[in-house]
Amino acid sequence: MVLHLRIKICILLALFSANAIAQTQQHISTDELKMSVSLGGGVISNPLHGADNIPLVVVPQVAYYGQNWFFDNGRLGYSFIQSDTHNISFVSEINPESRFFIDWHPQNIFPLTATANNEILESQHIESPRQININNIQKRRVVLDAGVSYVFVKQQHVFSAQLLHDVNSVYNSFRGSLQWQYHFDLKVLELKSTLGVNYKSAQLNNYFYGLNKTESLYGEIEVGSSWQPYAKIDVRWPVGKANALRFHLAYYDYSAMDSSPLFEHDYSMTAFIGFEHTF
Amino acid sequence: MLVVFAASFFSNLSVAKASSLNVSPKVCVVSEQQEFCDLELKFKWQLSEPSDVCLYQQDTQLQCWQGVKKGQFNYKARVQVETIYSLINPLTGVSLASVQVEVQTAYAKKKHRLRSPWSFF
Repeated sequence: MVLHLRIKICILLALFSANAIAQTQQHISTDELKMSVSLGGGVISNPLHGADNIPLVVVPQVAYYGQNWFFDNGRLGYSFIQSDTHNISFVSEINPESRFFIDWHPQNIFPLTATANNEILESQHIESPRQININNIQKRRVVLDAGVSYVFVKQQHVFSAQLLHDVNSVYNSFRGSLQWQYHFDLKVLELKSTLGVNYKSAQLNNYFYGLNKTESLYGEIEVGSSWQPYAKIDVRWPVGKANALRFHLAYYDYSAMDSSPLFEHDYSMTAFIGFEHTF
Repeated sequence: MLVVFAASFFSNLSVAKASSLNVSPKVCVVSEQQEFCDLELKFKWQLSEPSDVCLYQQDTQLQCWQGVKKGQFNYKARVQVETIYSLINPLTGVSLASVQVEVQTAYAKKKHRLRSPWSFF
């Protein structure tokens, strides 16, 4: 209920805010490396049983745009049709579902002690048939996806669609997304609100969230395809030319995945507040 | 024999050097407000010997002359991209000389960022 209220606040902010155009953060000079780092506190909540939330303390950002090639925070692309309003590009990026299967616990990122395995054994005793801990299933591979992205820009509105397929033959299928983004200024604040929906094929969902016979006492569990809405709000308060305060809140719906016993929550949230410096 | 060959070689070299085409101005500086230049281009050329010749803007013929050894020509051009002007013999199709008008930007060209839908910010 609280989450739905937060999403409504995001939409209202987008619709009834001032009309000034916030362009500075949405545009980038070509042939220039843009680097910034955000320091603060935040988390990406992990909806899976037995999984650690992903801490956000240092968030680096790197972007470089050439005439056609671009790299923007992990997304590599080549624009073959581009104008002020339309852009069609080949893009590739790591499949974001992989992040839920990486152990982000500081003890495993900086392994000073060997307690992680003990925690896994303990967790095996407490799970029920409908609650399967991700530490007791086979590791999911990191997947690289590639495909086509279309972006349409109309003043403060940015509509985008993309369709990607995995390139390293892991789930052998595709995913897509439709997104609307609205940029605006509210006095000194630069705001960006986003609404979108992700489509994930049954093969993708089965690879990450389905279970095979060896992983479940009740045989194979399959998860179908899904349409999963999401909403984001990003607020930036510039402090001088190179610095800013930053606030980010995002909600990703996973209620379509309720047939998977891996899920403890039917959503994932991202929250971050911190200080940003641009080099 | 060697002397004849060498004389012929250097003779040809001097002919090639003699054909020239110059243009002024050579540079178009575009701004963020106006991404083109309206230039009054002044061409001057000199050939090694009288010849029929045509001036081309990229693949477009601008003007032809018959049996001339040198000349000049003014042409109003709207320049947006680097453009090559050539003097071509219309009978043989051989390019005798060429010159380029360059385009420089007085600002950093900007693009709309193409972030992933999964991007944090």
